Amino acid sequence: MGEIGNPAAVSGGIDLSQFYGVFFEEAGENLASMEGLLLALDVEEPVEDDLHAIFRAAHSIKGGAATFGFADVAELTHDLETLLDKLRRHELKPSAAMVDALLEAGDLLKAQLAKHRGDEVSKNTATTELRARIRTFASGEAPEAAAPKGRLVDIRVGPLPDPAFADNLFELFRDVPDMGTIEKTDEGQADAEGCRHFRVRTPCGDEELRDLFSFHVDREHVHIRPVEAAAPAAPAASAPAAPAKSAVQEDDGFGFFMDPHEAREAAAQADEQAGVLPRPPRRRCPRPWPRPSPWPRPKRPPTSPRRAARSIRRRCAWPSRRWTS
Amino acid sequence: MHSILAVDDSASMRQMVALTLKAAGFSVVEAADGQEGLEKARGHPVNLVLTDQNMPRMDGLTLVRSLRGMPEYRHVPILILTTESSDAMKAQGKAAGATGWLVKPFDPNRLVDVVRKVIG
Repeated sequence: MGEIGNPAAVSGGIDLSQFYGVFFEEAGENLASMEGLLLALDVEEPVEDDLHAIFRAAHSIKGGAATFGFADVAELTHDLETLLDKLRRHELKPSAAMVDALLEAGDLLKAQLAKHRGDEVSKNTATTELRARIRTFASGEAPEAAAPKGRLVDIRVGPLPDPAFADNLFELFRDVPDMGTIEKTDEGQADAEGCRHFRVRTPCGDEELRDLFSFHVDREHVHIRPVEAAAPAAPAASAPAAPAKSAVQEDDGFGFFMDPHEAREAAAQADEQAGVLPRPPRRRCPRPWPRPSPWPRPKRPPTSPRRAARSIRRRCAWPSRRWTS
Repeated sequence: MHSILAVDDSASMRQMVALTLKAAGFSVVEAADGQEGLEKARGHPVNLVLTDQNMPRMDGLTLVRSLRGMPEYRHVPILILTTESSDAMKAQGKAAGATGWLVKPFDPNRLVDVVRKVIG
């Protein structure tokens, strides 16, 4: 039997348990939307609006869970939110392993919520390993399980009669999981000599790579050059400068940028003056924040075989799927 | 009776805020995102605006800036309800024209205290 509710149900004289039903319902909707967006996400070219929507879903669940006292849900969504925030700000690039971890987290959250609702839950709701993995992703490192070990090499392929031939190499890396990872460093365009450029992390030696590549391109067209170990990244040069004191009053959990009483007096004065004297125009503030994306939503690229496979795999996945219905 | 506009895309949070404030004697108008908040604010002048930050269609900061552009909301206090209280957030909130912030999660008592500090 699962737990029903939580000990923090009454707060400030308000019985918070009266909002649980709405919270469970909206959390379920948010998780379903998050899952749908993640399954459709093209990790190479994620749609901006989708990244924001996925973040908002996790953010909303976190806010509700923390308010209504579901600590386990709040902790897991907090980790998710940290990772998703970096993705939507393009501080990190999504990867298939990352998406899988996020989907796994969605399943775990469903189980946690079901437990709080009092439903029977057979799934293990332990989050330690998954949270560690998500935090590792958020720190910018690839978790060991997802990151093939090996050396880093730059590979030039060509000259090619058709630069698109080189895209077949991605299939190779997909079909041979131990081969490592490959990424384009040429934005999909051939250089002036008709060569394509890639960066590969692989445990394979040069000859082994040439053997494998020869399924798609001639051996003599594969030029491999090791990447020099980069100097450790300099500490963030953009460390925020000590912020100017922004609040006139600040307490634990709230603060005012202006004295609310003075603001009230100003408002009263303004009311008196309304229609009598024009007030000076308010100084316009700079706008450093991103505005909601105004551009039309790009059309979704056709489903790749990998995404289709992932989707099918998840649809066939065991019990956790039932909670979506 | 003071009236308050509560803007949050989360129905459970919105209901909690509305019920808490109504129990404390305020009249509450609810909106599910910044866009709806702006429309409700236009048609129904209020004494205080409480807004979430991350919302679809229009976020909280855009709502604050839009309200500050309306003569009748130039001096109406606006509090941002946020899960983060970083200096960057505060700088953005202040620049947008917000009166202050309240960090989520909050206790219903804390919400009423802060609201009373502003319009009590």
